Amino acid sequence: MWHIFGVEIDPNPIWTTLSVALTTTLVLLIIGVPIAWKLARMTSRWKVLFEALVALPLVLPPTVLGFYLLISMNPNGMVAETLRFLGHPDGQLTFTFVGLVVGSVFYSLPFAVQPLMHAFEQVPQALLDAAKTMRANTASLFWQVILPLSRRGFLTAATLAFAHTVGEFGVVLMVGGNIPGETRMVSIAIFDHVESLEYAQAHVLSLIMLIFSFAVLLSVYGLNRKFDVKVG
Amino acid sequence: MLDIQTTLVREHFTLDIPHLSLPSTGVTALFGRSGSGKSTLLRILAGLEHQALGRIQFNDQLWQDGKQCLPPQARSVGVIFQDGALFPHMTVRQNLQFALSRAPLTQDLVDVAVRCRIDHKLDAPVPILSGGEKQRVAIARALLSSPQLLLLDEPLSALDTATKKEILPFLEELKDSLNLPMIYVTHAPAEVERLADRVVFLREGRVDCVETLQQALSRVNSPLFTDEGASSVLMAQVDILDAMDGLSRLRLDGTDCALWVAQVDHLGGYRVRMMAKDVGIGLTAPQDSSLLNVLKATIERIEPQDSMRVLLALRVGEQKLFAQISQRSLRQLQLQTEMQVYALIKAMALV
Repeated sequence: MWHIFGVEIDPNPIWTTLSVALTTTLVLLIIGVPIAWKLARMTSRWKVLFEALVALPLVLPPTVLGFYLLISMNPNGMVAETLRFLGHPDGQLTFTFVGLVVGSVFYSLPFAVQPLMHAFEQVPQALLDAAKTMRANTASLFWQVILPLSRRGFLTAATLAFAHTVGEFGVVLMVGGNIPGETRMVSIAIFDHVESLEYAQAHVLSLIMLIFSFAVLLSVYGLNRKFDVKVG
Repeated sequence: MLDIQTTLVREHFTLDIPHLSLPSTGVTALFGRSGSGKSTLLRILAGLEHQALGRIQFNDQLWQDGKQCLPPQARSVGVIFQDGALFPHMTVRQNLQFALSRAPLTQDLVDVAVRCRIDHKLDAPVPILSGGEKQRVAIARALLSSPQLLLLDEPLSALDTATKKEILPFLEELKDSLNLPMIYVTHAPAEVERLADRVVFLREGRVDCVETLQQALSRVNSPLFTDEGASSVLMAQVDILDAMDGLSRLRLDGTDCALWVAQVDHLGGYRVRMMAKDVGIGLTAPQDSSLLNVLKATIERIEPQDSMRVLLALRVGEQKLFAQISQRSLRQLQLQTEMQVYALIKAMALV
């Protein structure tokens, strides 16, 4: 227990929130890069379809997304069966840390994919062509050409995915539930405090979130200025 | 030999080359207007067009056969793109190192940089380079990757006139000093005439014809002449580099005629390009005129162009030269084929 301004605060929701957000960001960067790259270089008329699919979580009420995830991850469903087949003890994802991360990945997907996609679209094709004629393989194309030229996109994607996961509520509530020390995140803890008329705790937690969020954004925008890479 | 059979179908454009065979020596120009498919053909040769079908063989290496296609990484081609395509987030040295570190042969980076006259810019970031410097770095980078074929995609078209005049002689030097076949895409007749050994004329995705430069320059209706009018190229050796007054003296190949031109920058062979409209005709060699170049010539053909102008095809030694004069002069001088005349050219008109 923490004592801040004489108020007793349970720090567990803060740690849960941070680890869910960090894990989600990492997963999103890994799966977001190939999706964003494909979309950025796609010329077929199906591109709009995929773009709309990726952007769906932007407009969908989080409870709708959470509801579908809850249904698909139910203990007798296909996802659980598959997990059990692969050796998972009970196949249960709902109300677990992993379930929270899965839900957050879906929910924050557009916030990672869209900035990456826009950054990738700015990488001139001629540079990639030139690199290929100099015998560069896919790995060096990515690490030495694409990544350095889209650093801002990566930074924006990581920040937005992280911040969006920290701030989520609906999906978390549906998929993760509210198990103290396991799946209770800050946004839900604040809601609980307000429900129980513990306004002092709600105040302190909210203030911590406010200061933390502002500090994150401030450092990101600072970095963004430093990373200003001119292309062309 | 470079044997090409390729088709590429796009929504509004089709490139179809049933058969094109080019010697793998010297400079081959791909000449045509925009949309003729010249750059696309170059990209196909580099392995950058995935939808192209056909068969491409370079010497003993099969680059493409149907859908089996060697990727650009495995072709050992150096490509010089229109705007250089340098990596903007690297220094000049890092750009060169990128090519060198993946090349099968080791070369000295600084040597090549000196040769391309960019050694003083090695640690400069790319964005501060001028257009001409960027193109020199692009050339150095392509050379450092040890290509067996150099592909140049309109390397001068993004440069201003002054920079073009600086890079063109540099390309001529490269051509002479390297034993490296080059394919050079351009829509500028001047570049073809200064650099090319042969020309592939492309139009609307098809090959019109393939000619040696001499053949291309000997017909009156050559596509090279459509924009600026007829021109000629005389092969010469530099005799005196600094002949005072900013001039150089050249000796025309196959003759003992001297040719005065604005000072050139290297000894050895030189191509002198002149427009037909800058060449006049005299029946005798003028003694009291400002014209420095007076070449003894024979009229081979007289080709009327319109009501005002005629084009004379002249023979100077073994070389050909076009002169464009007025119908009135033709009549007054009573010019006829096989007549001995003097071709008069201002030194200023020769570059």
